[in-house]
Amino acid sequence: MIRSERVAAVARLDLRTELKGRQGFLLPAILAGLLLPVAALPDLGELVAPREQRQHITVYGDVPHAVLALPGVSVRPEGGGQVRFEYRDGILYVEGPIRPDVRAVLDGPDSPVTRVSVPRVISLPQRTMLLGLLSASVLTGAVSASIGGERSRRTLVILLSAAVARAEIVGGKFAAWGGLGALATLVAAATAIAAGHAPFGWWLVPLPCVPLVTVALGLWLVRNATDVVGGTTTTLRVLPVVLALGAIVAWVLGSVHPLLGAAVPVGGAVVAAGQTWPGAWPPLVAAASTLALIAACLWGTVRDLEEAPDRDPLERTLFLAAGLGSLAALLWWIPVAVPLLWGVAGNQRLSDDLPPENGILAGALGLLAICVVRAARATGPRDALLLARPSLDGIASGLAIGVVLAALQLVPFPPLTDGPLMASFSERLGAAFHPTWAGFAGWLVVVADELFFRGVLLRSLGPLGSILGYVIVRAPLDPLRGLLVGTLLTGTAHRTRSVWPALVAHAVWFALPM
Amino acid sequence: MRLYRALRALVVLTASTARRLLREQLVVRSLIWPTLVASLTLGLTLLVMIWLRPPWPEVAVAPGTDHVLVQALEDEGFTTVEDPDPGGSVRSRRVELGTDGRIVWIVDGHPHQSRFESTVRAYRNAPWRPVRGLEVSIGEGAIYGRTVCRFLALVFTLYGLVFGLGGVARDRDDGTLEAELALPIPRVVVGLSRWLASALVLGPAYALSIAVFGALLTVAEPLDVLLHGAASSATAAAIGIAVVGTAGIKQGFAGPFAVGMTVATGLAGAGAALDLGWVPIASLFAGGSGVPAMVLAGAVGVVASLVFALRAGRT
Amino acid sequence: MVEVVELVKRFRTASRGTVIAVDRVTFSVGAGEIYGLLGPNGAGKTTTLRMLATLVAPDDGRITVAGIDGRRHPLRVREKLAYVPAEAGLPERLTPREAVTLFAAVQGVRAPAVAADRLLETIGASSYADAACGDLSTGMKRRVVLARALVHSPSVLLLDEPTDGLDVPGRRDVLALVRQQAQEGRAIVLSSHIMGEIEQVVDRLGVVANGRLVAEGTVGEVLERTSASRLDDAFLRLVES
Repeated sequence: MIRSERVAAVARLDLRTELKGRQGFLLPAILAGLLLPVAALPDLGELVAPREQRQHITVYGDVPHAVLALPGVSVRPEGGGQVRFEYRDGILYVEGPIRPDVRAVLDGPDSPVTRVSVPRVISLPQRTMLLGLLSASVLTGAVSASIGGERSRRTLVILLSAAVARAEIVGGKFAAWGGLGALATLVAAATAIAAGHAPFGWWLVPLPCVPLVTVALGLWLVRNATDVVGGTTTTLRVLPVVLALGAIVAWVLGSVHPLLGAAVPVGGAVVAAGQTWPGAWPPLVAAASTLALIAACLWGTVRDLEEAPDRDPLERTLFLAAGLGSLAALLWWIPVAVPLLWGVAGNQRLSDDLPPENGILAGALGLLAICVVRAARATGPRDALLLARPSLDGIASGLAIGVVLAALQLVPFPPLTDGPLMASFSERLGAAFHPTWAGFAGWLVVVADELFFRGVLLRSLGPLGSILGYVIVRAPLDPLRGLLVGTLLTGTAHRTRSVWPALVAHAVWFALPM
Repeated sequence: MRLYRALRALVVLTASTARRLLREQLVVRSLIWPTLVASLTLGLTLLVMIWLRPPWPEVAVAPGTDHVLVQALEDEGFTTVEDPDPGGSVRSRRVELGTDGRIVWIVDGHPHQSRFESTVRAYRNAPWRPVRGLEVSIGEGAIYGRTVCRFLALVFTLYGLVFGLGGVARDRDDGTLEAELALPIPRVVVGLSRWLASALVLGPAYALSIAVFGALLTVAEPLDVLLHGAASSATAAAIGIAVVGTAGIKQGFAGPFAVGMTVATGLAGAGAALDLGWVPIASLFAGGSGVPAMVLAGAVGVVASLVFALRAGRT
Repeated sequence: MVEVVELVKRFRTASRGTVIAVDRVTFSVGAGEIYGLLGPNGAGKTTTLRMLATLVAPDDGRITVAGIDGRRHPLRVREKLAYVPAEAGLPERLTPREAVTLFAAVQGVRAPAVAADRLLETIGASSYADAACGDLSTGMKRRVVLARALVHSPSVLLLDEPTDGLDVPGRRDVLALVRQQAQEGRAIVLSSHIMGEIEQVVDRLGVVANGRLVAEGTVGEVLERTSASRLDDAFLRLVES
């Protein structure tokens, strides 16, 4: 049984702690300063002349003179514009969005075909959508301070050991910040209605749900944050994505049917608050779905709120290992191989034109980033990356292995792939496995590979983990070659307890063919 | 000698602050989160496009339409349906494409409108035909990639604010700031080291995001995009350091944070409406060379460190 | 008033595997009694207190406070007790009067402002009741923390290292307050590693080492058992054996 007076007391404590004094005045002032102009001022478009660039189009190819003479049309001789013109067998083919005036010029007075465009009605949210989003963004810091800040101030333990239930604590914090946000948006909405910029309507129901769900979600996200910086970073990276993606998904689904869009929690409320869908049902459904999510978040926070969150170390190690491996694989697979999917999706041109070197460079930078982070987190950065100075013997063995690897490159290993797509994958991953292009990016791959596979992975997961990781990430479609190369390089690094011989070997292997 | 000591302290403090930032799991996860989400979203969209490509739709054709045209439409994969009033059917959205052989009725934005119109125009020997598949050229892709990277820069800008403001607030509470301010070095070095550390962590993380999008979609003018984004996040860190004042976690974080958010988002909004290519944060949507914004970001960082030094001295 | 029977708590750590922080600890504290938990760092004192305060669930054993089962009715138990951790914090921008009043309201005290004023007077903090908590000295803050803990008139007081960080006069004042609370009928469990304050204030003590209660009784009984003349020596003999 939740006691309302305890909830109110916790809310008062939270508000008083954060909002007292000169600095505490800032938060409400900013809420007012942001929301009231949005509510009361006329549309910015009426004040600022629309920029010419918005109606401008760029064209290229066999552009007719009549089209070039139109205002707001500029030509890109080198290509890459929005609209392409091409004559083939006496017919002009036009690729790209065709403006009505361009169409009129192309059609001329005696067009054999007349196009009648029926406008697609797209409901766009109105400015009232911004009221909820703005109040939600301002509250991010306060929500994080509410739990993370309390934990670092050592006042959360006092609350948790007091004669007040966890549900009352969470309820109080939710009431404090959610209430402030909801009140602010409703006052701003009333101002908008009074100023004549918005009608009184059902959109008022989901509007306060936006700051409420932001606070509920924020409390759940920071329930285990140990301080306010960590908490705020968490809320900042998750909340905007949830709000924005949710709104996009709701709007897209809403174009199929308004109730479908309204049923999307969070996003439905954001879009419905913008008076996007007429009638009572969509705003009510949006509010209901969002309130359900609020309840779920609050329940999760109550369940998990502890003074010192207990982290299972075994679970953490497994998570770290899995996370590291997945990240490394993603860093190569997404930028190197995924561009091929453009062709499968129907855009062969993009698939062919995307240079594989971009993906290889991205992968190398990503691996280097993991190495930097690993070194920063270790008490001994040189040890974490096995950067100990090697012996002369180690360097010599590295040179020798480099020559052997270069020779191995000439051995034709049996292909494992089948079909044109897999062959393309194999070709791209093979280029990443042993880039043949010179320059900064190629050498970056050499350094990144050794520091990550023979540095970070070898140190963290041992020789087996290093070899396995190398095959999975770099040579999944050429595993035999990958196994041989990985074994040789890992072996030399493991034997000498230093990454330098492997680096020398890889550099020789890379440079010799050139 | 003093200058040398101050510079050396700057290097050491910057390195240690950057290291502390990277040691926080939440910080590291936050740095990769935007790129990961955006990339995965793109990947998922690709998968959806692959598996859920729509079939060719219905086309309403008026009775008496030449069977040659009807056959041509069916050869293109459309399903033709005889309709006494194709225009009315399109307007009422019973179908989205219709023709009587001379007029084509099309609901705007239909994915097969170009193919449909082109077929009718070919039948009528029209001098020009639209061609529009689902193909995006690499030039257009680069523009989309640049737009996505600009939005990612906004996220990194907010991070800069948190690193700058929150870092000082937290260090004030656990005594680290006091220890640094008690060192025999100018106080501006303490502020400058925090600003530099934030900028040095955020800049490369943003560069990685651009590299990933450069691989997935290419990015137009990647170096300028990087400079604008790095300038933006560095400026946000400077704003955080300047507005934190005497606030700590205990003394209230929410108010100064809200001020910083307002300044940062206000600049971004102003940049979207006006063409402020040389003002960091505002320049994110303006385009052009990123060098002026970077230079100004450096100046803002120095000024913010001076403001920090003045206010820190007052506690 | 407080009864602890065969209490057990285990933690899993990355570096040390499973650690038994509290190993079948049993003791009881009556009303008006001050019971000291004495032990080195990491002995399990704080964990025991946190279990009593229902912040951590025990893996085994029974806790009873004022006749209420702590594992089955934690909220009711918290109504009867107050826990003051070693590094208890205060909202820096609030005054002691505001902090104690607001907390009294959270605890459900009727007329919280009146209760806060009375307590601040009792505890000797009236003179700085309207200064910001952030401006107070460590000793003053400790008094305010105690006032906040006592505002709902608990019958059990759990104090973890109550004099930590205080100077000699500050320690003396806090210990005097503790004795005063015991005289008012409260059962007090106090943890410390400072022998002097244990000797001065406790009625009975329990020596904790490696999670186990290795000795229990009055100061005299513990000295006799270990054949020591000073509590320091007795403690070292018990812990090192």
